[in-house]
Amino acid sequence: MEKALYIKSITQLKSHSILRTFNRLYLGSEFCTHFLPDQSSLERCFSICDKYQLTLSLILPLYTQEESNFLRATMKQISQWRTDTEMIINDLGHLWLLQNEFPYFPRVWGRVLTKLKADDRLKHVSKKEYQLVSTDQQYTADFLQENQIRRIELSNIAQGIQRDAAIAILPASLYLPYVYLATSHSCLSRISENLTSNRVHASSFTAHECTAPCENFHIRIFPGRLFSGNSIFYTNNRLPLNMETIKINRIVTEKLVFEEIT
Amino acid sequence: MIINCPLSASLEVEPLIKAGAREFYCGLLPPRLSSKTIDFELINRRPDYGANFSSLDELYKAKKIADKYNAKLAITLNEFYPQPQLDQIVPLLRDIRQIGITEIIVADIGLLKYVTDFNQDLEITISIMASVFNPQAVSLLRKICPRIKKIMLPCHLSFDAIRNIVNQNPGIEFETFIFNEICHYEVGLCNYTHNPYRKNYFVSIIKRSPLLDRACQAVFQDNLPTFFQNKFFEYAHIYPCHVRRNDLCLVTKDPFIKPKKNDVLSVFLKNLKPEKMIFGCGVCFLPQLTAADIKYVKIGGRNNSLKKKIRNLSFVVACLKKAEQLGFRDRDDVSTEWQKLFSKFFRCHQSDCVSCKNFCCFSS
Repeated sequence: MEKALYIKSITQLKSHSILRTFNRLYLGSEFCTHFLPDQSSLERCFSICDKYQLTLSLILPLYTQEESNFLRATMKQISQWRTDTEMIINDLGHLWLLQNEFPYFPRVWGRVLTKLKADDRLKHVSKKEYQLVSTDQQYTADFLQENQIRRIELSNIAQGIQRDAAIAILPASLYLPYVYLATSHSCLSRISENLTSNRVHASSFTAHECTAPCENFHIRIFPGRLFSGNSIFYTNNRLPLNMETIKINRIVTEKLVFEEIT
Repeated sequence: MIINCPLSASLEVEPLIKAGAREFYCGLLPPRLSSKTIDFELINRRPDYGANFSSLDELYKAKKIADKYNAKLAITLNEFYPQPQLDQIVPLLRDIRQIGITEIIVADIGLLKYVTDFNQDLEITISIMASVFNPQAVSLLRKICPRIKKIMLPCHLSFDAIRNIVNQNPGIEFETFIFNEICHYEVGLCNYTHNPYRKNYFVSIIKRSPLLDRACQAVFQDNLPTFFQNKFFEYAHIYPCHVRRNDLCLVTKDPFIKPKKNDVLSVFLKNLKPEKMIFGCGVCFLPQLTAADIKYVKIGGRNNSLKKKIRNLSFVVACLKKAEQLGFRDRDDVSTEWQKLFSKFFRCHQSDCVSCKNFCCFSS
């Protein structure tokens, strides 16, 4: 079983010794372009990866045209160093970019696109329909195969996961402990910051002029959910018992920006 | 600009056309599927009876009336379907084709591929659920299915982003929600379920564990007008978008930091007034949307009563006329005009309905 550590920013790593227990590093965020690494972060990240023999997976964020240049620049920089860096696709636009401009990167279908029903109330509902993965469908599976997608990313949803062995060819990664629920178009952290500074703009996934207030706080919502930046999560630490049958061969331990890793 | 109106019964077609509708979207939940739907949002994101046609006959009637007035009708199939669900959708596609419906609204790539390969005569609209945020996503979808006719853009996009997408994709129409889309989340990025069929089930869960009815949306009810409070309490077990101020707890990086007056943390709790974002009104952006070359606007609320549908539609029609009169002007300059119009159609409990710069769907 491959083990990966998911961090949003390289500054989260206060100590590197923890990396000895992992094989892979996930860097970035699905939900905000602010966490796309710049050149210096990438350099630092690659040197850490080399030192601890880790492979890098870059988590590509949802983006609008305004951010596409930054996204392209990041991918271009990475291509100059390591073309074996895995690209985790969370927006259909990512796949287009990879196909047309960066075809050499390995591709992974991210958890934003795998579309699991993640409502935590469903843990009380033991129905198969809620546990199925929408990519495990003949036509979607064909599409993923045609586009050289190597694996899919899954949240550790509370109701459990089931996959149809006949269709589910691709291996999967499982994210722990945070289960992604939803993303807002209004980043609550930014709204609060803007209110204090009397600015009015607080929309989108864009990171323009954002001071990343989400790095300093998140909001815990009773019972057990938390708001971090523009997205909401809940926690589920319990590993599924059917890991082998659902083809999970990678565990991704996720740390929110807020959490410093020592 | 064409208004796309929700529909859930054949009786609604004529009055809505008279009120200004030129296109309709609807769902279909035939009895053979409804028993399965109890356990899964099989068909679309509004899987309750009130939001869907309950039989093909009823849908056929609606189609015939719509044809009489040259109005179009599209079927919403905007969920993401694992194989067992797709197996249910395929015969449904055959049925709707047989009664002469040629337009469907889809989000699932698998379904899109299936339709591209096997239903060459269907016109396709990409649902808001597909989360098309950039021109590259449009290009990819067009590569999968060159017959895509229309794409629904997410509500949060700025005008620049909309303009970029539209300009780079000639030959395709774009649409956006303009009214009554109340979700705080980006619709395609919400993994919650609000299947009303589960009402009784969730009630029983909530009785066991009362806190489970509150979840996510930071709708701080202390701030809500009573009207909304009642509405949200009523549906608390269905919509998990239910958070009370007392349920919130700020967790800071440094546990010794306490929120001070006027700092980011305390302001967060004090000033966030999401009542401004739950109404889902974006009409004051109509001139900007016109300038961005958006040809279709959509009204939410398939499960609304006919009376409410007509009222919403009449309001948007009046707003379109007003937008033509006003031309392209900064919405701040003409905000009172929109307020007056809103008050004319609705008993206005929010006099500042168009001053929602922080939270509005279309803040740019």
